[in-house]
Amino acid sequence: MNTTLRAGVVIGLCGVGTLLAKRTLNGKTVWQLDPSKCVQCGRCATSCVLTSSAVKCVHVYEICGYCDLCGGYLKPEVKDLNTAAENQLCPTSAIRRKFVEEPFFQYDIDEKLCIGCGKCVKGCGAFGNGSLQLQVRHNICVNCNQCSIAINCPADAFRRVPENNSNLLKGFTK
Amino acid sequence: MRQKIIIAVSLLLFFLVIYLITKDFFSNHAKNEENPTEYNLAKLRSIDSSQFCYKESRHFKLSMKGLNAIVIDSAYRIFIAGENEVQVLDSSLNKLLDFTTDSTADAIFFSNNKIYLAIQNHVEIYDMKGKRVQKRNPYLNSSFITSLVAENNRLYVADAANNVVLCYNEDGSLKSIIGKKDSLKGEQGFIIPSMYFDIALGQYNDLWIVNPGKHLLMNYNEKGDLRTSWGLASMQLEGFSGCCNPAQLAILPDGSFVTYEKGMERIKIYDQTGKYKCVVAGESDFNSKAINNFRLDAMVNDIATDLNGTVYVVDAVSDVVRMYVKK
Repeated sequence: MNTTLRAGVVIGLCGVGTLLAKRTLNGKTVWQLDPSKCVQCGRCATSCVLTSSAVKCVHVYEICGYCDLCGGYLKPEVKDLNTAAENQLCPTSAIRRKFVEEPFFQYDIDEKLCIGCGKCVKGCGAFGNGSLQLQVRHNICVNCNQCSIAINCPADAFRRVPENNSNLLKGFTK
Repeated sequence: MRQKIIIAVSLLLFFLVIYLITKDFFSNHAKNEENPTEYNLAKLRSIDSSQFCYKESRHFKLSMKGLNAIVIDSAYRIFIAGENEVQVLDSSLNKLLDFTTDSTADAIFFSNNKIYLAIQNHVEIYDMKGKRVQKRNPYLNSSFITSLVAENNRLYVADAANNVVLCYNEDGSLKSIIGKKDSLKGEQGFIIPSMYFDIALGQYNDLWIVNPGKHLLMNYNEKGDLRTSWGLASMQLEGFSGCCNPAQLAILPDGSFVTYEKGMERIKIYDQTGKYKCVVAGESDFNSKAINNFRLDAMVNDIATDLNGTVYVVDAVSDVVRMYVKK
């Protein structure tokens, strides 16, 4: 009886030890948003425990077309292609449009202004190359045990990823 | 009595709190409610049914996957490039020829009994037995060929990586480069923000080149001189939407243009002067599951026309070829 009990305790301890060792070796995990699942519903802006949200727009410059008529920067059916506030799709003017050379423009994200609503991401995905993508910024995220955006995400686009490889940005496929 | 009322009210409040907590815990209201920060594109994407002048007559699958490019010849034979394979079908969809290629062809053309394939940075030529008769050297190793057409002993090749169209002689020697950027002449060259750069032969075998970044269709002679152009950037049906469209081009026997726009997927017809006529197909004609997902690819890989005016569409989502005829 005692031997069985002792063996059970040892096996239990070994199990817990293995689990803890595995977790330690795997390292810390953090929440991240998978752009291939994201439907740009806008809830990242309103569901995060932080104000403003830890989800920000990230620009993947490698796949940007540097377009004059940028679907992520400009509202549809704008009269002029310029930086006038009424032309901008971003509700907080968090995207900076900079002239490179005719007819190319560079678009940079001001993360302090970005609220993670994903309007620009939807516009860029629908009308452009999809170079604007939403990501959880880990210098801001408090890494809640249960991410409140993940609970409300209709596309189940949030998952935990290793901290040392935490970006899930998407590249070009054709 | 007073004590009983307090207990009853307390119990009532207790059960009310339990009910509210349970309801909140199990309900999924946050996922379903409307969000004021959402960018709703549904209105922009919808096309009025009166605008459609074509209907799908049939669609067919092939015994190969990854359908990527299509062309129809004057005998109504269908040449299709898929994953490391090319198939040729007659008008009744009977297989006439089937051969494998080292890589998947990005563009296909048939002329003078030769099948021209664009494979990454170079052109391969096959005979009608499926035997490779020539593999041409790339213009540059960095080239990426997205389209090619051949006529009158000339081969035109659209190089999306270098933003030019190359004109080759019969023997494979380079005759001219069309659309080269020239700062001194103030020529910007073609603006290709994404790897979609199509060319097509017009009614009189004239060369039409899409300049997607400028939303223009441009007509050039073989020397590289611009003859005419048309196009309009607009979200409305009359224009080309997005950053860089049209992504694909085909020309009907009467000289009308068939254009495919990626992003806000729509296939439309323009007359010989570039005036919008009607819609062939919209997003609803393809796999609707893909519409809301974040896509970097287009739903359509290629379009083609035959002498009857039928429009052939390579549906990349379902991996089928769809045929559209006039209503």
